[in-house]
Amino acid sequence: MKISANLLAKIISLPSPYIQRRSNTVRFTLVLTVEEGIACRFAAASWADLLPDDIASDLVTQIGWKRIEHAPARLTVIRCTLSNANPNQAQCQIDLGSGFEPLAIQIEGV
Amino acid sequence: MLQWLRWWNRNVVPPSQSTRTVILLPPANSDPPERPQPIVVVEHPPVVEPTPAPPPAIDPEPLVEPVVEPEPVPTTTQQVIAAEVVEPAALPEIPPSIPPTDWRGPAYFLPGAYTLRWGIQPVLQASRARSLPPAKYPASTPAQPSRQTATKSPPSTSGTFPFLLANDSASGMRVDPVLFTEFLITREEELSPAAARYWTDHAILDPSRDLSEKLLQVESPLTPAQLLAETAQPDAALALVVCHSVARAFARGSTILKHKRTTPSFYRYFDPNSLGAADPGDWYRFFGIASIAALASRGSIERSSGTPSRAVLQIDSLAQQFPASTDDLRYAALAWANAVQFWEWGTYSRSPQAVRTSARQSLDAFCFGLRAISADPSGPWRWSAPKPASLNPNDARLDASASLLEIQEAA
Repeated sequence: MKISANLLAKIISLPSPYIQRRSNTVRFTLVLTVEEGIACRFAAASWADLLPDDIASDLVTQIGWKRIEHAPARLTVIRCTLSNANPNQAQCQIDLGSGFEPLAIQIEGV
Repeated sequence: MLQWLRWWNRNVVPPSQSTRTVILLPPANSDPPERPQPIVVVEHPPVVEPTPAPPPAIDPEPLVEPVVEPEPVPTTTQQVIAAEVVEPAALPEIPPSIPPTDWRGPAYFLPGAYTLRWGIQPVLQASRARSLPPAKYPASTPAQPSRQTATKSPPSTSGTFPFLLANDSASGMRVDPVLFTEFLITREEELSPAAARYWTDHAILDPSRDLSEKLLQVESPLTPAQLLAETAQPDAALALVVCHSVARAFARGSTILKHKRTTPSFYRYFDPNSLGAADPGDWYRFFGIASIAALASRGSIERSSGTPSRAVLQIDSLAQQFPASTDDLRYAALAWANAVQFWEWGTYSRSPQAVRTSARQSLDAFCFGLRAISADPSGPWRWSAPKPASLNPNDARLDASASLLEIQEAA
């Protein structure tokens, strides 16, 4: 279970007001589900305001379809902080129903 | 004088004074009148019994906020995380599949091991002590070498549930157990092309599309038996696979069946009283187990080819550990079906209650699949339920006995 730096770069490149950008730090919180289909939104947004399908699909692949299926209500929450807006320096956590736990960052080429 | 003394006693001496002077008056008829002598009466304040001193106050322990977040459902608030995010530990890399050179073939899924009648016994390990009584149901026709798929039947209104089941035999749909297992447990977009054929083969895809369209027109939710009947397929095993595909598309979405998430509507089409309304995914798992029961019990198994994923290899290792009968294919089907459920819930579930519910539903699904092909559904059947999150997804082989939560039985 991990999230790739490339995918983080895609997410923070979205022109979303729900991505918090302060000085050199970028933060966001996502809600991801597989209930009746894959969908992903920022935590403060509604289910009518989704992230692009390819990002949601990649997230499910990287987190694991079965893991999300067995999370309560088929929902998982991912939150990340990126120092200097650099995906390689991101720190992420995931909540699959038992509280937040670290989510490893997959850095391409490493 | 007397009046003056009475006035003095009454008004001058204050009642609250601790020491006061009282002048005793002589009786009124004394003769000659005596000079009154003052007597000093000392009044002490009331003695109050001292109450025992309270025990010294103990400083209460400072309240500690619980560290663990109590919500069972992941939080959905917008709160931005604090800066002190824990540095994630590096996870070991897991190869997506076992290199062919390391894999010696499926010990359980090979037809020889699977049917048992060809002389190769499956390696029963922990399950020997739980062996089942002799089976009552005669073995099915041995598997035929060539693959046959059922022809698409003309769309028609469904009859009652058993109508599909008549004249069923081993001549219908056949599956490679390795690829079919991969198909059952893997997300559509991540399937290998070989395993994706159970989605895309026209013998399955066309009736699945028909059933999806039919389902959108239903006026009331369908039970599993009604859904199976709606497929209008002469091959009951194929009908079960079609139901699995459609239920999965509605429960999880599907690119192939073009079913996309809109608003939650699953239980408008699928009866919430049949399998509960906790998770729409229960429906596709139900038909997946029923498909295994039908296909394996009638011997519709092809020789396996290709390299299994690690997950399929783990399921194969579990299947070897469950009870099997030497002359009844239903027990081989039971081991396969049980292994699939055991693997998924033992690896990913976090709730013993959810595992128990799933085991019960899976046992029902197994009997449902047997009834669908007109096989005898009477057992006794024993279903091993795993402890949640007790299986390590990184292990090549899994020990079912070490992860056993309980055994459920059905007559």
